[in-house]
Amino acid sequence: MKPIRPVQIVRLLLYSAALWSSAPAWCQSAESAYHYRVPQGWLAMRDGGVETLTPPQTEPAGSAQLLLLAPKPARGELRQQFEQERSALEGHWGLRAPQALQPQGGQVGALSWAAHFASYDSEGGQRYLGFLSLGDGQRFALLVFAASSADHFNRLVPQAIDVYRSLALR
Amino acid sequence: MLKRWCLTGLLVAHGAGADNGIPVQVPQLPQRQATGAAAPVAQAAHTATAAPSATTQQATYQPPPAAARPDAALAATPATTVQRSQATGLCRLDAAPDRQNLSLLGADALPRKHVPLGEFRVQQLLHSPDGRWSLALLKLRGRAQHALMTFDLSRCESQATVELEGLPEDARFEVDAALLRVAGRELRIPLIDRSQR
Repeated sequence: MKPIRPVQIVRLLLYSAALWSSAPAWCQSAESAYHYRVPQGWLAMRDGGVETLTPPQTEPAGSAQLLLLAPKPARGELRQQFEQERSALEGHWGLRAPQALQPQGGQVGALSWAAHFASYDSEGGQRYLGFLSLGDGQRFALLVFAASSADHFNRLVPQAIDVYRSLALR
Repeated sequence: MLKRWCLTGLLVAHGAGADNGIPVQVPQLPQRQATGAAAPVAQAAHTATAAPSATTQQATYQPPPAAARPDAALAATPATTVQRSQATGLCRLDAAPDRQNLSLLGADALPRKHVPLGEFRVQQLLHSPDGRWSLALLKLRGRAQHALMTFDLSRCESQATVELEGLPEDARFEVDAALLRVAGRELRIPLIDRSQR
């Protein structure tokens, strides 16, 4: 076996540092029911079983957010459970007159998923929401991305979807 | 051998960030047209659902805490300000669009106090689940200097200003404190200023 030269160790360290700095932040909290990638600059808060991610520098401040609701036991088909939960939340939040895009959904390996994007009227003004769920047959997870304007929604939804794509149930 | 082991370890660690493979397409929602002339029936129906019955809530989701609801987090919009203030009877904190001023609005949605921030700018507003406290995360313009202001919404007053080493990576509320993680360290911000009581 050839001995390792000091220059090789330096190269390895530099390579490690480059990889480490390019790696995104991950939610590693022991309290979280999820494992996911936090977009750079977003702030993660936990309250009860709900995790809230807020993007930086939205104007007005706090006009967009991503909610990760506590996982629930799976009940039958994911699409059906998703529609029930979404409908209940829409009612609970006073969202009305939805203008929805074509629903999305499918199966990836053992994961089922469904997504619904729509704009609404509400007492507080217009709302633009994305409901994103996934299930592994045992548990049902739901994310809600909400924004107060189409501009905020369209600008930030790629990052919200990045969280969704990185999401794993613990 | 060692080199190969290190490289393999690094690549495995980096690859742990792999996606779940869900092929959801990124949507673009069109701007809604103003619907100020909404049918009275729809308005009445909404009023009924604004305070949903326990039955409705328990049928599916237990509702998220108040601060986790979209209408609470999106409270920076003036229309939402009116809604929240009427619902809770507490003041609420609002940031000006230019992020250079904060306003405390009363339950009647009228401004009670105005907080000019000088060279600081609002980065984020955080609201406690019980609606009693708000935090404003601030950054000094052009410099990496951060601060936090706490607001007691039951008294409609600013409470304290704390310098921070950076923007928090994580925040949560306890009964009498906000817990922030800043630069890897947990910081406890008391929310009951006993000197004022």
